[in-house]
Amino acid sequence: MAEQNAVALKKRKEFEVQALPHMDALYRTALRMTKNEKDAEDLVQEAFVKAYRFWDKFDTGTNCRAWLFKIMTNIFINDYRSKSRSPMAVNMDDIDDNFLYGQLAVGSKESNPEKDLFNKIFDDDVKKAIETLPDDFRLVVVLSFLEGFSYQEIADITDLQLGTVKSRLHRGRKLLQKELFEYAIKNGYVKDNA
Amino acid sequence: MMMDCQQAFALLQDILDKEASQIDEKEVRAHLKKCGHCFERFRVEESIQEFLNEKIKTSFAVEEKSDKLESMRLDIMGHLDEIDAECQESKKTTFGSPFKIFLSAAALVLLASIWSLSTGFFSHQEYYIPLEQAHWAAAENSSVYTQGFDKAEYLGIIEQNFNYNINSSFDGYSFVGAKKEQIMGNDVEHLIFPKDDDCISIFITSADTFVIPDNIKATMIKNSNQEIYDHNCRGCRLIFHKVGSLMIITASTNKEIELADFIPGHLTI
Ligand SMILES: [Zn+2]
Repeated sequence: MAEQNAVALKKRKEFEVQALPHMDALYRTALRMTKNEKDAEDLVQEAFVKAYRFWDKFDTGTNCRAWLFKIMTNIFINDYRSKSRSPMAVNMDDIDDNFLYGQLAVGSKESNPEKDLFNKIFDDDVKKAIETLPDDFRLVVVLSFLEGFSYQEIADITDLQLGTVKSRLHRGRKLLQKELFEYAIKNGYVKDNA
Repeated sequence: MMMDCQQAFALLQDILDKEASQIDEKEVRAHLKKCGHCFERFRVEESIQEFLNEKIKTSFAVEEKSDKLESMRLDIMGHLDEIDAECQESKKTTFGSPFKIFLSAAALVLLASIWSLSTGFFSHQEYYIPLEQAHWAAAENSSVYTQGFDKAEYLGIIEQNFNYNINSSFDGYSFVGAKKEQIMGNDVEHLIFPKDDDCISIFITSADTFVIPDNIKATMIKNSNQEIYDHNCRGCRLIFHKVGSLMIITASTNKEIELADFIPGHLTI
């Protein structure tokens, strides 16, 4: 009996030391995925409950953070993703690769033409731009830009092919840049202000 | 062979995502040194990416209030407790008849804790988690309690302040160190009694300020003629023993120890 308790205690302590510290990061990403605090909280909580129940399955020494994100992503995709999977509103082929660069007054006297643009993009714009990304793109963009996961890690977390991760990230980046450029214009950015 | 503009551009995304191989990165950088057009292009793209990464982090920072995260952490701990309790319960049912009495006692605790789920379960968590955590921390790192510890002097102070005599050893557990801690706003003397890999904590505090709320009493087993509350839900067992104006709490992860016997053995009040 003591042995069993010792095992249970060890498990709990391991979990508290290895898994729980990632809560902040999980919540951060959950917020961007669900777009509201209540759902984000529930999602993180569900992820930890599931992770604890499956803690035996976790390979100690491997990447606990990625493992937790995989569990959370899985729950998100199955239970939280917007039920109406609206097709892409934008025709991607119309957007240039690395959209913002094409909009900058490059070649002007300004040595850093992008600085003017950055000055016209506010925190709230970035938040809105991220939230308008379709779920599939938002997920990989957040995992990459915010959490710094590698292509391979994102592929493992989302159960997508490496190539799919790369192309979604690429298109997500384009969409995000296009969206942000529109905010910059709204905020008074003038393309040829050099 | 030197990389051309097109080849360099093909690697732009990999470079922005920090996924390019060392060799590719080196070749691209070599090209950028020679090609002003690509240099400017990469510089701006990297600058944009850096801006995005940074903005994505800061634009949500406001919502991550620390008290919010702390209450989430407590909620999660509560869920883990429920799972732990479930697991323990299912293990106990596999034991034979000598454990039947314990079984029914455990069932009572479980019933009470299920009932309390709807009536302030989390205040319950908040109540015993700090004690368990203090016990675990001490068991993990006892040197904090033993370093430079003057046992004779300490025993004298405790006797004087609390009129409480501590047996230095009991059942192979010996008193090796202590320190004063703040637990849930109370001054608590935390004494540790290690034995092999095992460790018992004894907390001594004032019963006037350290009061067990009624809803928590309801989840514990009460000894009929003494104020002893036995709390045995998680990986740690706590026994709350009110003696006169003192509250003595014993904590152990080894549930085979009869803590209820253990405490009175130390009492000479
Ligand atoms: Zn070039």
